[in-house]
Amino acid sequence: MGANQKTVMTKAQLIKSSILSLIIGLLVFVVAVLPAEFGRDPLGTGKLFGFDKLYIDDAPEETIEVNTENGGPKTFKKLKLEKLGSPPSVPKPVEANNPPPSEQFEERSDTIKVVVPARRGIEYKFKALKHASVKYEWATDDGKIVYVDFHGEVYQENPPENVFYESYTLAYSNNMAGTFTTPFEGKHGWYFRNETNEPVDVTIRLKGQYKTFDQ
Amino acid sequence: MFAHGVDDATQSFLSSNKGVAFGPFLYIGAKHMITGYDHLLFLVGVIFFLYHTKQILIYVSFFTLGHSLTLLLGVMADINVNAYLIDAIIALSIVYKGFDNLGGFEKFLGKQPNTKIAVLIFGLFHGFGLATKLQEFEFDQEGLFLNLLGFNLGVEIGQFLALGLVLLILAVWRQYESYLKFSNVTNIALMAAGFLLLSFQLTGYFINQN
Repeated sequence: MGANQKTVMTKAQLIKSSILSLIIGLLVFVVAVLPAEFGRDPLGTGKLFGFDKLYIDDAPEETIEVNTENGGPKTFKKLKLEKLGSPPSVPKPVEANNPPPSEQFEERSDTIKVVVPARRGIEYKFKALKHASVKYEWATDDGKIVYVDFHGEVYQENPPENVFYESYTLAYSNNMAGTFTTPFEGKHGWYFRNETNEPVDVTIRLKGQYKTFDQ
Repeated sequence: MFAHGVDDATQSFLSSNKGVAFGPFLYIGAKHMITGYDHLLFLVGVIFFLYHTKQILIYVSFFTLGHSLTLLLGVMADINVNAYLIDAIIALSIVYKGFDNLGGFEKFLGKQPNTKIAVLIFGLFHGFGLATKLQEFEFDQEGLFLNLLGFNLGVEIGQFLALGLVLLILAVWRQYESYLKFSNVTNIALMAAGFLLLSFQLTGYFINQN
């Protein structure tokens, strides 16, 4: 089979060649393939050449499906600018203009479960100083849509009867996430309203410069 | 990305397929062969020192016989082999062929192992690889056999197209002195690529154990 065309190698050359090919193969694997395909970087070459940026962790992502069972509405009222916050008759407290503190609350993180009863609304709030940074995420456990008003109230020594509040976001959703910088010191949080005939569990995750009320 | 993976769009077709779909399966089989770099490397190794059309046809027949048998048997009898291990064996076949081309077996064993039998055996493994990949999708039992035939025929067509391309490139290169001059370097590079694929598949195997 065309053997006479081959340049004949000695045994020593063959062994050397085989070892060389093994070293080349392993070297390419450890330097490039391992960081790019498996996200492991024993020699630091992935970081050096940027191969590690190619790595995608293909763990399945969590998905949320919209659940409209148990009387959950399929149509929603249009959310309008006029619905944001307290009525115009309630003035914004002057405390909202206080300067931010030099130090924020200590960084912390929590996972909170709240149950929103059927056809009812419920609030969950945290305390934060002015210009605190808080990351948040919330989702209903079974994908049901709730009405949500993410809002805050200005801290006041003597709060009036009609408390001023500012709405940051209004939505119908089953999942939201964001980074939030507080516009003033006070209570900030979510009002959830469940428009179905069954209670809805909401799981909230927080991470940032805040305090919970049970502290 | 596995050498023997089927891409996302193909996967979505395979998962949702119902009944007989000869044409699409033919296409998938051909595409798999042309885009499978481990298979292409093995091809380069096998025909590197084959100069005659007749020899090439004999080789292709043995390979075809091997993988057709195990592809049909694997899917029909629902035999499941770990895809990483199969692909590791295919990677090893590249190393084997590179070493063989360097004249390694002749030097150490005194004679070259029967190339036809070796190609047949690697064909059998390759067929198991194809079968295992296809079994990851939920098949409709209806039209299964015809679809498999379509896939297998597609593999043949893809193989011929790939072979044609490889032969064309090698034929041009053979005109030059550098072909023989660099034959050792080429086959060492082939072995290195085989070792690379081998480490890739084994790592995939051990990582996915847990």
